[in-house]
Amino acid sequence: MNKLTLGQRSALYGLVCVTVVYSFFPIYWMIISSFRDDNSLYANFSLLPGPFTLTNYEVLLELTDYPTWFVNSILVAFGTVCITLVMSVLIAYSVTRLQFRGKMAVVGVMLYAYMFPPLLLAIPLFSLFVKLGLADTRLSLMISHCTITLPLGVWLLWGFFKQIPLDVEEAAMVDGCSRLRAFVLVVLPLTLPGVLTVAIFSFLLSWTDYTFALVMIGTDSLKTLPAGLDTMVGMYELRWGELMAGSTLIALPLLVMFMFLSRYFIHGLSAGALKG
Amino acid sequence: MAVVELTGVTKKFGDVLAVDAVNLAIEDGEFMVFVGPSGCGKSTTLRMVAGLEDTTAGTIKIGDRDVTELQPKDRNVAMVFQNYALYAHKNVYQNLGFGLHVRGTPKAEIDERVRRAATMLGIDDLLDRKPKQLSGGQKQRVALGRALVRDPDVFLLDEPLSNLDAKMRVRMREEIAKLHAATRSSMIYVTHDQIEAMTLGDRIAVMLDGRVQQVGPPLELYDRPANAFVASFIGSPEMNMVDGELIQKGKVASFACEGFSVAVSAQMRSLATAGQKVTAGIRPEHLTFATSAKTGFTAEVELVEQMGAQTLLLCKAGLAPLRALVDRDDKVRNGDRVRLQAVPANVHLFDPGSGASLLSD
Repeated sequence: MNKLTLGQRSALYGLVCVTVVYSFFPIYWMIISSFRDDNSLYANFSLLPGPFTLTNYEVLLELTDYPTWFVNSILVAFGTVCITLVMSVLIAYSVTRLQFRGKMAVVGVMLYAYMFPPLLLAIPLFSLFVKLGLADTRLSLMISHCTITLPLGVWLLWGFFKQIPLDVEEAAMVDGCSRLRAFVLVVLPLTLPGVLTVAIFSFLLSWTDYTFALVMIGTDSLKTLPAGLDTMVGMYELRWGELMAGSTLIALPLLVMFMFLSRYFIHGLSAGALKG
Repeated sequence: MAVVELTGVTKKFGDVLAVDAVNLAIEDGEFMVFVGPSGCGKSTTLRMVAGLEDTTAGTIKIGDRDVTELQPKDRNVAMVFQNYALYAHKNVYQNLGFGLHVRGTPKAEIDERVRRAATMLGIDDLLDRKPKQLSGGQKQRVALGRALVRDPDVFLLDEPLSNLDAKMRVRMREEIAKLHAATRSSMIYVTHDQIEAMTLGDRIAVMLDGRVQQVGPPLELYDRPANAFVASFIGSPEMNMVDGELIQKGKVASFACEGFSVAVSAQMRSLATAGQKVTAGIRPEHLTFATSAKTGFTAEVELVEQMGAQTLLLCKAGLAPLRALVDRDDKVRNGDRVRLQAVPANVHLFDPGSGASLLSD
């Protein structure tokens, strides 16, 4: 690659800075707002952090259902991750390795479903859940989330499995493994970055979903965080302090996850999507 | 006792017949080589022995057991793949011990066998490395070692040297030969390289279009090829094939075509009638410069290839193109006219239609 001139380099850095500020300012604002009292929130606000108070967090955790929503969110997200992982690994593996009629149609249809906006799927799904007696349950929300996470998971893992040479699996089978054991002992460890990517992605989608949560869950005690926070936006009252504290707490697990797993995430995305 | 016995083994992929009723017995301790051009069914046959492909028809026996319907894991065979097929997430030690590990062999025994195989293959200082830290030759040694530690009934090797460079290929070829001599295990080796086949095999099965064309010791295939395909496939440079007819002059029978004629052996003569259309096969190394002006025939040199100890001449005798591999000759030039001869015993005759050797009738 050619060396950039000083001017080009400065322009590039400038562009990067603008992008970073543009993306991070709302997050920054959310965090510092969550630590402010009403006075500095609505009146004398400044761009710099402070003054500090934990009142918003105390109110949020003691006077609202926030802890319940948090548990609900965790349960739904983990459920979604588990269902997605088991199903997408099995589907992606069969689509790559086995010969059967309509194989490509399976992948095609799944990707097609992925293109629908969630709201379009949510309403027919809800009426389906009502008929099945699953309406207003956490399970219904997990299943709804899988309509997005599963196609994505299959698509990503499909790329990963295609990269694993068939030889390696056959070598394991000749070495004494059944197909399943060869898969668990040899194929799965080799696709670990892909599996982790799918897990992170599913968690992310489920954790931050608002649309499905709003449609599927009516009972307050079953709501997940984004839908729960929404109930705090009253008709006559907007409690920004608590809202910001709630949002900060939603973002916290994502931040931690990214810190530890971003390497896999980025590798997984590029390997699965581009090389596949 | 035959260790591996194939009876009527057939494989169809859809409508394509990949392997056509192969009957073959590999003896205990024998090194059998399947050789043929790509798509001839040699690898498919090997994979059926391994259990990686189902058979469409026929039976496969290993020892006394009919393994036709068994899973690969239950056949007690070991296989070396063309692309090494090492487990990328395991180190060399774990790669070598994997087969024993999944069979529940005690740790102490795994350790002993892994170290013994590693020493045998000269990879004992690589045991902690991951496959991606190894060279091609080292990878192939690990792949061989993985088969070796298992002590299987039969070793299956699917073009194990194809991915190596020419020098490394020769070295590994020698090592495989030594390994076989040391272990006396039964081995089936698939290759498209006739030199590998000739140098390694106790016996060679030459395959074409899913059928075994001829099975026999390397020199038997070289001396008495069953048909024109085997004749031209075995031996390098390739055998010269010329269409012509058999003629009789007094007591001497000879093959004649537009351009030259050579005497044939009495045995060949007895198998054909005068005037019969035949294809003659003469190996380039069996064409030599004529000892006198009265013997042999004239050919015009079109190209000279110096190979060091020998000189390869591409000539034309009349219309017939011929290659002659003669002792080193520094003087011969393009456009020279030379006299070539072949002893009758080295002139093979084939049926021009079926390609079958007249000897095989």
